[in-house]
Amino acid sequence: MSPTPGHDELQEMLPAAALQILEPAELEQVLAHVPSCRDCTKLLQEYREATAAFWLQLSPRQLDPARSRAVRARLMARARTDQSVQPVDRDFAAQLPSSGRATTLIYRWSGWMVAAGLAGVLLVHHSVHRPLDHGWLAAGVLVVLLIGLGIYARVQRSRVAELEDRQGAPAGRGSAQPGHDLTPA
Amino acid sequence: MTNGGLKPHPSGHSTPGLARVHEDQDRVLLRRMADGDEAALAELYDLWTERVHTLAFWILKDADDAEDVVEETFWQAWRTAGRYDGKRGAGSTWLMLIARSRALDRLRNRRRREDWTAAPSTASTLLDEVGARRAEIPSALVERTERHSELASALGALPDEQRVAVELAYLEGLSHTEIAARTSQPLGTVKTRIRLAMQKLRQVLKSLREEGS
Repeated sequence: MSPTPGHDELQEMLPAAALQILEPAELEQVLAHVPSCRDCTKLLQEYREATAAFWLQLSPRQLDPARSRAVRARLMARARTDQSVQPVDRDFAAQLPSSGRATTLIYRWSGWMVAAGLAGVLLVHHSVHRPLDHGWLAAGVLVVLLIGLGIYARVQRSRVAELEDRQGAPAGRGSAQPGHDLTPA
Repeated sequence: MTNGGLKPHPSGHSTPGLARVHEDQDRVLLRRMADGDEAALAELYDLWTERVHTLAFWILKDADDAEDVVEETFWQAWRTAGRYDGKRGAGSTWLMLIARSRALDRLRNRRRREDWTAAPSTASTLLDEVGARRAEIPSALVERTERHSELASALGALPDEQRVAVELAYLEGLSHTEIAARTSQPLGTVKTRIRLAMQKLRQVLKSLREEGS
């Protein structure tokens, strides 16, 4: 493939672009061209519709009704939780590496606040009643435990964020957001 | 084969004009979802879940994975409904492309773990696989209505080699190079086959759309 393909060559790549099977370099060339070409924009949209219609030739496979109800219930529960985010923010929140619930910040720190409070109570209690023996030891162990838990939670959170990021990030083949990868705004 | 108790809309449109009404219905549902209307999500789910599941199943060939993709697809639709632009295509197009992307992501992750390249398919095996996916189509066509039947017929009318190439791209997300390797065909031939097949499908869709307008 030449480094700068002409209009006709790029137009021939559109079916593969709609199928999201272009190699990254080819995709880049198509993405650079399509927004500035009305014909290619229209053609790409038509190919995308043809791609989306391909399922018509597949033999139907029904989701087990009980499992379907369970999936539906989970979705509705998640949507209800999600309602705490203002509609205008949900679109933005969907782009965050982690799912970006409005309650996340409070949820994230509430456990730490409770733990810190308990550590404080323990510390005061043992300082008053047993000033020189177990009080400081218990508080120290608690603090070490909390730090360890914090590190573990942070590692897990970053792994989840990375996975979600990878899942939602636009890419050349397959993982792109429909309507936002190849079709100009 | 039955249509699995589907709501009338996604299983077929009796006339092109009605198809447009249904497309409008999908758009309205997505707009309501963008405004945070949970009931719209439930309606969209009820209308499209079997189609999304069908696609996910044939890509992944695993019931549990397909179920996960169904949930991921509708969740992504809920979270990103505000980005859907009705002028750029039908809601169903948008939703099915989300479903395909999610399913292919999962398939590629699985392949990375399994080293799928160890077992390339022969051309005859590939044709058998295509046949299995399409085994129930004739009876399905009887039940489907005009618009979808025409489109499905156009898909069925593609020459086998074109259909295999498009199916490998569509259902397995393989690149031209990978399809060429799997089918033992020259890269240029594979590109041509896919392009010709997609051009035919686009033409059929376009003429159906023009009939409806």
